[in-house]
Amino acid sequence: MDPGASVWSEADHVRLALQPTPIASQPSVYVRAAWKDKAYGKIKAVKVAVLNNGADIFFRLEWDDPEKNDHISGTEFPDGAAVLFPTAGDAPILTMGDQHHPVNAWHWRADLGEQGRNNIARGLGTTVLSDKSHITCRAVWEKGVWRVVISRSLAVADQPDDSVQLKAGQQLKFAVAVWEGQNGERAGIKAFSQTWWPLTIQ
Amino acid sequence: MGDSNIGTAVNGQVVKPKRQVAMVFDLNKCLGCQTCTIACKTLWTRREGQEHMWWATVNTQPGRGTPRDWEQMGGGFRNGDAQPGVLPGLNDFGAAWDFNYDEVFSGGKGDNAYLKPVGARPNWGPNWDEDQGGGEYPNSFYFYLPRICNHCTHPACLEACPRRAIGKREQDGIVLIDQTRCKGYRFCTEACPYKKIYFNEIQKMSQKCIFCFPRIEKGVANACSRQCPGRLRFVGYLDDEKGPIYKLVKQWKVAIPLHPEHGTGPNIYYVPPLSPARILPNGDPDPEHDRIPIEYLRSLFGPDVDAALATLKAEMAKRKKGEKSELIDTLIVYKWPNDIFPDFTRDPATLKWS
Repeated sequence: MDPGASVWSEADHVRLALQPTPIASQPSVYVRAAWKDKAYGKIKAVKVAVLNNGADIFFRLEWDDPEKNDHISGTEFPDGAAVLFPTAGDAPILTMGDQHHPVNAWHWRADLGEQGRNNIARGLGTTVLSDKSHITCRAVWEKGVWRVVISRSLAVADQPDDSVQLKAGQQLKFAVAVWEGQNGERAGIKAFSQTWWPLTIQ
Repeated sequence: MGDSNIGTAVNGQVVKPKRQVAMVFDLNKCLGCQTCTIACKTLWTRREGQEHMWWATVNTQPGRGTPRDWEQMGGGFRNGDAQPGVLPGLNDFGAAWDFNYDEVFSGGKGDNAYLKPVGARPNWGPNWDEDQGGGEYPNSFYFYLPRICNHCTHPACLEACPRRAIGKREQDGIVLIDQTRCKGYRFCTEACPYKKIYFNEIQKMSQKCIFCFPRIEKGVANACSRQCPGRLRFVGYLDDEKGPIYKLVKQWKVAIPLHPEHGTGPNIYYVPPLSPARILPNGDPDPEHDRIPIEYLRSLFGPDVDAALATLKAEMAKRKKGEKSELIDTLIVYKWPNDIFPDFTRDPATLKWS
């Protein structure tokens, strides 16, 4: 769980390039108008490593961010990151799933401490927070770098519909998104990996 | 909320609710006593994270208002297009002050202790520029402007929310933020040209005036309206031709919305303030000129303010001559509560909340 543990330096990393989400697909006339000339998706790449111990799976996300934003107030927005999975079949990533192909987002936000949030989405703007979450996060910001570990039990029996179920040997895919709080990024205003990335659970 | 498209523009047409509840504030009666403000505060915004929230406010005009300089913060629509807006912060609303109650009431200092804020000296609050107003003596002037959420026909907040967490009710057009859907993104606050949405830093979500819908549903008028000592807050349905709202807004057209140029179609309407005469250099009143500059009123209420004031003056003159005026009788409110909120006369003390 420790984002700085030595085990992470030995783990395989992939560097995922991130892009801003398309302005035209923001599900709000206001957001499209207010952000059309503003730069967003400020985080350009994230380094990802994935480990599991047979019971729990750990995603470590690492990215450069010169300014730490771990507070929320009337005018402040926290940094955030999420790992996204299709829960069934080939869910489209650009639209955060669709009616028949939900996606599951494990969401870390810098102001929420170790409690991660479990979201299920069936299209843009449709995310629903699960009543409870089995997602645990640990985050450290040091010298302009966020290192965030997002973890969960491989399987969560009490959330058969809200959550992706994982097991050893499984091949699946995931994507990531990062919000730069300093830039007011929240909701669909974020940087994301445009394609699914394959993952085999060892 | 959710699948409903009420309050959104579909192919350029705003989808309307079956009925729309509305209010009229008669500014000629407002005393600036803040009873409405306190009635609302006491009922709805006493929880943690709501200290800075005043869903009902009264500010002195001309003034910077609450949040500070909200009239310069953008939002709303121009030619139907959403306009970017500014996000006001806690300092713009004015953080709640702590007072030295213990020292004054039980500190044993007798008359030597007086009530004052403790901690850093406040430099802004929701009613900071009270009674300052505008103009130069002897032509200085001011009036009070009560405000709540406008429960707009085309709410900029509702259109702004990417999660469709804001809805406009079919039965009465009340605009509500679904607290189970809100994730605290605050696009709604940016988009609202009236800046009447607050952020709860504890619950991490946005909150605003709910038009006292649990009372409305039971035939009880809003707390701010029922408690108003000036009896200036009319409540009713816009389509009720026998009710005061219809008469003042549609029939006599003396009640007009605030800043209509934002294009959201507010459902709070104002009877604009009449003005005393300007004082001439020799000290005599000049009955030909009002002390409140008409340009200022136009900047608040748009071009329709001229006709509204003219109608008011004409009807007052009729009444002065002993003639009848349905308009003036409506504004007077002879029988409270029937004449001011005919559909919402029930005494809240008769309600049993389960």
